Amino acid sequence: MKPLKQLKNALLTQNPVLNQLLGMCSVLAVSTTVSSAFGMGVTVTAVLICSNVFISLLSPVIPQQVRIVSYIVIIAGFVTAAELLINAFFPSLASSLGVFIPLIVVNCIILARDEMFASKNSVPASALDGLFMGLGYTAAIVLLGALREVLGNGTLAGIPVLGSGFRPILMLNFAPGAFIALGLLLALVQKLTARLGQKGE
Amino acid sequence: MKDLLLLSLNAILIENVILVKCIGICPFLGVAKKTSTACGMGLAVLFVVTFSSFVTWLFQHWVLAPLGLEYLQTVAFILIIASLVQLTEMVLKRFMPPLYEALGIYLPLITTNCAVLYAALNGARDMGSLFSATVNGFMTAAGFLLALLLFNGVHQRLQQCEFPPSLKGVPAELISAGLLSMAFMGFQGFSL
Amino acid sequence: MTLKKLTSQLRSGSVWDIASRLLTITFLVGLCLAGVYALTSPVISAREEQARQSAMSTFFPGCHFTQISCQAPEVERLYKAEEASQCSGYCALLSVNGYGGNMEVMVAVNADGRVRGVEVLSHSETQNIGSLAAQESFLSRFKGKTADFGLVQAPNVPDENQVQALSGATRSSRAVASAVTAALRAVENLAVAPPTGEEDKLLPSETSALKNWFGEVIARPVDLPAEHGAAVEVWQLHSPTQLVGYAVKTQTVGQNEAFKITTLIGFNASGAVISYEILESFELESFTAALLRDDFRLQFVGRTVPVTTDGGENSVELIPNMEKSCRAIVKAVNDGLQTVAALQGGAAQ
Repeated sequence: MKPLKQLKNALLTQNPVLNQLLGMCSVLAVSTTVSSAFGMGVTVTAVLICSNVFISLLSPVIPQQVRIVSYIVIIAGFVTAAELLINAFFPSLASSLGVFIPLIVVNCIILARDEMFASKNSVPASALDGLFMGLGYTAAIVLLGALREVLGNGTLAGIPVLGSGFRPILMLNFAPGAFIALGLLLALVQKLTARLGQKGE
Repeated sequence: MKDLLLLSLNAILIENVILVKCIGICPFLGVAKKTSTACGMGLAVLFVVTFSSFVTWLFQHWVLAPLGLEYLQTVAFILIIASLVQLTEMVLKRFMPPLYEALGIYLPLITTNCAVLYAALNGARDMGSLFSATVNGFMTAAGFLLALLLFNGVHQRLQQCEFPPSLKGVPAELISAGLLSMAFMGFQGFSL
Repeated sequence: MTLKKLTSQLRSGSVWDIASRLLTITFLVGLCLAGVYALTSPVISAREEQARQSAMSTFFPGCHFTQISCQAPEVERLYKAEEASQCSGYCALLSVNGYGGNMEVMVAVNADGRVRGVEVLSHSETQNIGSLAAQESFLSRFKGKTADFGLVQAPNVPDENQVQALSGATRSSRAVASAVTAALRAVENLAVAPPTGEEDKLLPSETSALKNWFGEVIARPVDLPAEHGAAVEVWQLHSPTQLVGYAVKTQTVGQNEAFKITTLIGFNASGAVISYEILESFELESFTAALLRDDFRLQFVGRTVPVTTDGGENSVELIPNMEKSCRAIVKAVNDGLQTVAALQGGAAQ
């Protein structure tokens, strides 16, 4: 499949968060601001690419019966490395993401891509798949983050964008707002998918 | 005693894993459809989380900290959790086959349940004693079970409703989860 | 999996094969993580030191800090804040046990022995319960208190010399209160001991350095001569029969204006440099280690005239990328030489 088509798939029709409904824990919890959403997206993409590459490389030697556990160990290794590097070089990101960095280990997206794609495909293809799926995830989480930050705080990446007369919807900064915002976003996606499907007929 | 009560209250209501901290959503949406699976999953998670909070706290304080290997926490914990889930699977298959059948695919999925790893990390990082870590784990999972059961009740009502096509399915579930979460926000005002 | 199946698999060796492969993968992952950890932990500890320094500078802006010895067990470090040689107060760094584990607390004390401010640098208290004990709204309750303040439980109203604990976070409140009390008592004890006696006493690190260079000697503190530069203390070192040498303690500025490097330099009886030891440094650990390494230090050994950095006859080579720290040592040695020369010139030969 051509890379460009793959990218379009990952972003629009097979988006890991919006279409496949994976990895929602981190999307809901971290998307209060665009900057933390972006930071999370980049971290997940990095871990996804690295783990995809390594699992693709090592898949001949990973025993079948314990392959899920092996994948998890490798992913955990990369997540811990990411956590150490973020703690050392990006302390503000570390404090905004907090305990959700180690929780990337159990992000369903990474495990699903490793199991379904990386273990069966070549290293370059897996790397590319990791990149695209990561971009899809980042796009989804940043979109939700932008929605929640603009409407819930009046700012975008810290810059006020809606003027002082705007009364922010404070609920969006908390869990209920996250659920509802994501629900509405998914409803939109469903509507668009249905409409595209109709056009195709 | 008062400390424990506050800890429990915190874990179940004020910082409910699913409805306040948004952790453990994946199985939440899938399992809450039938009461039996919701119950079974909740109880299985209860067992795994309590057991893993116990073991991981011990591992952290008796192995990782003395050896200066705290950075291996995530790797070690996830391995411990995976082993415990495997153990639970074997025990259930042997002693409670109907439950094992009912849970089906959801049992191995407990390994990738954010709530389990979260409870383990929380216990090891924030709790001063083994006892409080285990109680915290148990109460966190109790909160998980509570949220599952509440949502299951809501879901049964949702089945009866007519939805516009774009809202059908997951969007409606998320919005109702959001409303449940809003109810739980009432507990935030607890001045402890 | 029944016992029979398990044992048959064990016998066929496949379980060992699987287990060993899994173990190898885990081991390799652990090894790589050890590497990343070795790379990142110095950065993290440098940043933690920065946080401590900035906390101290926030409490006492414009002052510079010197570490003083403290016997109290909970007090990890005690710093004296001075502005233009006037003591503005003290900063104590303490480690106490809260509800969820260790708490690192910094207590700033005014020169009159009252609390100037408290900051919690790190803690593992429960979110929204114990963590409130780390917030300004609770910590500001300690301002102005003296060492005999008491902690009262809500809803009792605290009087002049009492602090109200956080209801529901008694353990955390008590931990912070104990840190503040320990800090105040440590400062009190300083005031009790006569200042001259305290300063003239040699710290264990100083005694051991002198022993390494000179063997067993008696160190007699002497008054600083008029031209002493950055030297703060000087001793004449005697064996039972004769003058053996001098020791000069200096404080010079390295990377950070407010935090000086304290150096002890040993000179022989003719005023030549024997060696130096860094007693207190706020530079990065790697910098301090580099300044103590032989390839830099040996350049100073045997010098009798002031050292330069211009590449001329009396020049020393600075370590690249750490010029400021090296210049601190150069100034320390030069001022030491000046002090010893002044002492020798003054004493009847």
